[in-house]
Amino acid sequence: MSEAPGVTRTGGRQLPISPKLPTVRAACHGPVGADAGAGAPIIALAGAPNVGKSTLFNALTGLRATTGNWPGTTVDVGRGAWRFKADDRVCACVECSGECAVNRVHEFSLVDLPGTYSLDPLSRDEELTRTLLVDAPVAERPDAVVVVADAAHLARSLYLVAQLRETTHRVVVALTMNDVARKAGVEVDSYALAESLGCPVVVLDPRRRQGLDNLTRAVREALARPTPSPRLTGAAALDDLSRDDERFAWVESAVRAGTTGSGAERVSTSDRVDRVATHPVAGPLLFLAVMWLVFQVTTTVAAPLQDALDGLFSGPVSDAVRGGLAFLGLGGSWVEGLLVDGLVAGVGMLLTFVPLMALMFVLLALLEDSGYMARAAVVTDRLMRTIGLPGKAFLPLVVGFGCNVPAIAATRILGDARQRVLVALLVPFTSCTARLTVYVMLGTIFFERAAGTAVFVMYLASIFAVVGVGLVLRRTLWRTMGAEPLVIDLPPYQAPTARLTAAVSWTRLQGFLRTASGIIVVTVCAVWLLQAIPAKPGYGFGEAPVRDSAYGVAAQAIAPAFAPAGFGQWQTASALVVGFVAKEAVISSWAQTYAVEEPEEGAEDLGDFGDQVAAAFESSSGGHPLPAVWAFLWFLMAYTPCVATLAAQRREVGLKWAVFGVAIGLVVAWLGAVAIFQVGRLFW
Amino acid sequence: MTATITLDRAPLGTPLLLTSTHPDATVARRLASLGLRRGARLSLVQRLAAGGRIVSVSGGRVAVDADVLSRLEAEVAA
Repeated sequence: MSEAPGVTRTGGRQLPISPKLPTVRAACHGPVGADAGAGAPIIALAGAPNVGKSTLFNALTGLRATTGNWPGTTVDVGRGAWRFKADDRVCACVECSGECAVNRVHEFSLVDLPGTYSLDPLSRDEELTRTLLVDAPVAERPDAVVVVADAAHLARSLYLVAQLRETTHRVVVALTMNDVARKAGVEVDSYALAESLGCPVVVLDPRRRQGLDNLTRAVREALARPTPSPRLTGAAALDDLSRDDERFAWVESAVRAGTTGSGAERVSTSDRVDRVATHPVAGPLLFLAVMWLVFQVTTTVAAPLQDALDGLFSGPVSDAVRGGLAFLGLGGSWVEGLLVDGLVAGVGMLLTFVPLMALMFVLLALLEDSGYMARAAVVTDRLMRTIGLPGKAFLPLVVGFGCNVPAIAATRILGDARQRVLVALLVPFTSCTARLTVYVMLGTIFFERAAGTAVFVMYLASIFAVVGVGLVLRRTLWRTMGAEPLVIDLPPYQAPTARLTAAVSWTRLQGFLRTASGIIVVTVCAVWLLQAIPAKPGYGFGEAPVRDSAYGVAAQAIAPAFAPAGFGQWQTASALVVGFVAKEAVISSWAQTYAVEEPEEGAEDLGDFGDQVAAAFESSSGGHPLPAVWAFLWFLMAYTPCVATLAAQRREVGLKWAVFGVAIGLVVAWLGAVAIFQVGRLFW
Repeated sequence: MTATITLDRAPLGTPLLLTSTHPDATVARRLASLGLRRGARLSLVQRLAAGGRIVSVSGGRVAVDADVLSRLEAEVAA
């Protein structure tokens, strides 16, 4: 793993970058049904970041859009079917089947390329765009390129057109943000602009789905024309600087011909908002307030919904399944255990994440769509730069204090694949609310009135772990990752649209459910199976107490590894094993373990359970329970949060890095726990 | 002859003409793609933490850190 992170990727179609180049035709295969049929013309959607390219992609493909992972770059490239009727007339069929010449639906295969200002790549995302549009063999390039251009900042968008005119691509310019341009005092004459550019220009509003038919018509007309010859500009004979000057001069000429007015000197509403949002003092405070709101919504608002779903599955759904099995004569059998404690519990656990994830995706979409995310990146840039990350990396880390699973998904806001992997590895060290329950319980047992302070210390420890591990990784595996200068385009603020927010959130939620469902259900079933398998003679399947099950025996085998950290009892080890699946289950399974061992003690009573836990730490630590508890809390904070986080990591950065993350977590957790106990026992 | 000044020292709200490019070609290209290239008219509209500024150029706004600003020269536009 000495190579720069993010250069390999699993879970997607393997595409070598070199020497065999990826191509649009060969590489963009999404799931069956998501894309257009074979033979459909391939249209690439290109353009600078923040011009509404992905919005246009979603508007043209509806919710049929899919994303494919691109190994070697870790870039998401959207691909979907762009369906349209080829004829504007009303058909004369008596009973139209939809297959007549008028009503027949045609389709393009639409590819959403990573945002880029030019064909000179400065990032892996931009490398991919260049590779697909320029370096791929001509026969494997898209049939046409739609360049999405921001009418409010036209000059920035047209440099890409200037470069594409030097290739054989059919180009259509889709002009977005026209309302923003008008507000800024800029009027675009699309006909004059088209004449100056030498390609069709279509005015549209993808957020409101206006002008899409005109774009379809323009692309169809472009496809009907022969492939253009590369425009002879003389640029090829020039050096880089002169070539750039020639292109920029061409762009300026086109902008002059196609626009009137300039909003450059106007103080806009966005400027007034930015006086607060990016202010050296007020900006960070506003950012913290926004993050606090995100944190509150994703934890407190989702909590009752999660509890309701949990109650539904552990109550009525489980009861119904038990009733059904009893009716079939399978009541109390291992089949009941598998279905109720395995599958139903597993599916229930998965679904309890849905409200949390949905809320998080909605909030992220709102922040992205409004334009605030770019400001958040500016105000946090200085802090995050200490571990070599840009400011916007702060967002997923903050989200992680609510729940690590959506935080991993939130790493998508990072454009650089190496940064995305690094943050995805750091997120598990942020202390999620599930771990909070254990902190509070042990704090109450061991620190009584100082329990709140103990919990606060754990949050400080969590921040320490994030920064410490970040620094170590930055100076080892990530040492070749250069520090980026802060040069961030600040798009004007805009009111988020409900349709776009819902569409983006739903697409992301679907992706989470597709990936996480399998691993969570399988792991929960595996834990149930291990608890059902007797490890000692005299018990049938599903009849052995936990101590004598394969699960209990495995916990007893693992327990000695924790002896140097002062908590080497098998019950404690088993709680940590369950915690690997979900920290939410730690307390209940821990209490259940003691209940099974000593049922006469009435372990339903938390007081007795607390006494047992205190006695266990006293015993295993050789009379130094407090250092052992701190060591246990550190271990609990630092090792793998849950399988759902693991599943999210696998989805976002690939299996290899997910496994690497587990290893880092275990190493940091164990070394830290041993150090805390061994040093602490000298004083307590 | 008009005096030049690096952008990290330029006042807010004054129309400026960029007279140099960033010495790092990669950064220069990024700046150029956002409109910050030699000959561009710009103004600084907002202070950021650690000496950064929001630059108004070509109708857009770009946040730039102090280090990059210190390597860009400009003169007051006529």
